[in-house]
Amino acid sequence: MTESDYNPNDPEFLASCALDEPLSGDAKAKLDEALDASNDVRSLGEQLGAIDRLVKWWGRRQPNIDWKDYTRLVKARVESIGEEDQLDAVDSLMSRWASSQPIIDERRFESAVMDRIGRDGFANVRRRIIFRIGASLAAAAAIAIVATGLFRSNPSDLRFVQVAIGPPGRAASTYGPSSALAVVSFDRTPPIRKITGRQSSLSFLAMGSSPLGGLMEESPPL
Amino acid sequence: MDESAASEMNLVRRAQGGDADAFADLVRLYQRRAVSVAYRLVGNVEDASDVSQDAFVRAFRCLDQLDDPARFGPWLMRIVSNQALNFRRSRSSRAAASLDDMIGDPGEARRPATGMKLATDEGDETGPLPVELHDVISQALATLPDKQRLALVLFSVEGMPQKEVAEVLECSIELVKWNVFQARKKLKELLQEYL
Repeated sequence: MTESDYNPNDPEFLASCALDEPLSGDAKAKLDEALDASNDVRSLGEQLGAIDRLVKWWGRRQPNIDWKDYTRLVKARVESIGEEDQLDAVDSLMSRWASSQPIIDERRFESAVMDRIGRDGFANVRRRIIFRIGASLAAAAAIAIVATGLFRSNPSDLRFVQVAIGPPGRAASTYGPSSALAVVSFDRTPPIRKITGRQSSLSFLAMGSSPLGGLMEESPPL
Repeated sequence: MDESAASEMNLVRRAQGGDADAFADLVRLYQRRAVSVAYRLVGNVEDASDVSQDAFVRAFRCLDQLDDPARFGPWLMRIVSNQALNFRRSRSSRAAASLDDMIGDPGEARRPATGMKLATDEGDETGPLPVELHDVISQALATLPDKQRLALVLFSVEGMPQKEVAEVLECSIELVKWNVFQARKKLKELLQEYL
């Protein structure tokens, strides 16, 4: 039942009111009539009275606090209201400032971002490939030179160093005998649109001074 | 108009003029009832203290909106009630101990708030209400619609006159009686085994 169900002649309502104050003549007559006619109303009235006593009993538990301290706190807050208002005003100003959003053409913005990602990504991949190949070649050549004793005094002992570039596994096997072989192998360059995906890898074979035949181990990707 | 009412009106007028000392006197006059009402609605002492303090500060800010200084008490209780009910509604996201927490864990109700104690008024017909029963009644009250709970708390527990309760609830005296009746009827169903 809600307030819209309010019925001043409801016997149960009158029984509840009778707990709080003496009813007016008319209301009392109605309640007496209802009590005579039905024990249910009498029983309900008694139960409502029991509830009222229980609620009052429940309400006896009082919060026990330091009232002097309480008064002092409230007074201090009241006295600092001017300052609080100023801080509130700053908060309000900041909120309004933060709520103003720049107006942009979202489609153009997204398109521009994607264009830049594509262009920069492509340039980065190219730079990485050049650097890795160059570094690998230089390292392979340097190691091969040292290993084969390239700088011997007798020109007839001069050995050739062959540098091969190719995919892993193929690079070493497709080249003929030589005094030394430095092999640089690499995976395929990943698609430009997947810059953060697969990385290109480079590896080179460790080399020896004997003619090829016994191939050497391929290093792990750099 | 009796002397105390005239004195209170004088304090309200002075406070409306910005006199913090006069307002502090009003706080002293009403703080027990304000905290008590808030406590019945939010369920623990610390929150009741905070909520009622906020209500006093709000009242001070809005004093110029109080047309009749003689109605300061009910007007203040309306602010306290609204603050407490708003606090209840927003409490679900807060970690503070609450009435709902006490319902979920009856042991919580036995634990006084930090630095504060719950005092039980003795000398009644049957002694202090057992803690368990206190929690059961708190739980039952918490299920009542705001207006019914408020009507019952202000009228039956705080003993405010129906006229003042009507001012707080912004309704007629007859509807105060009706809300009290509805609250009692629902509690009768919820607390049947304790009757």
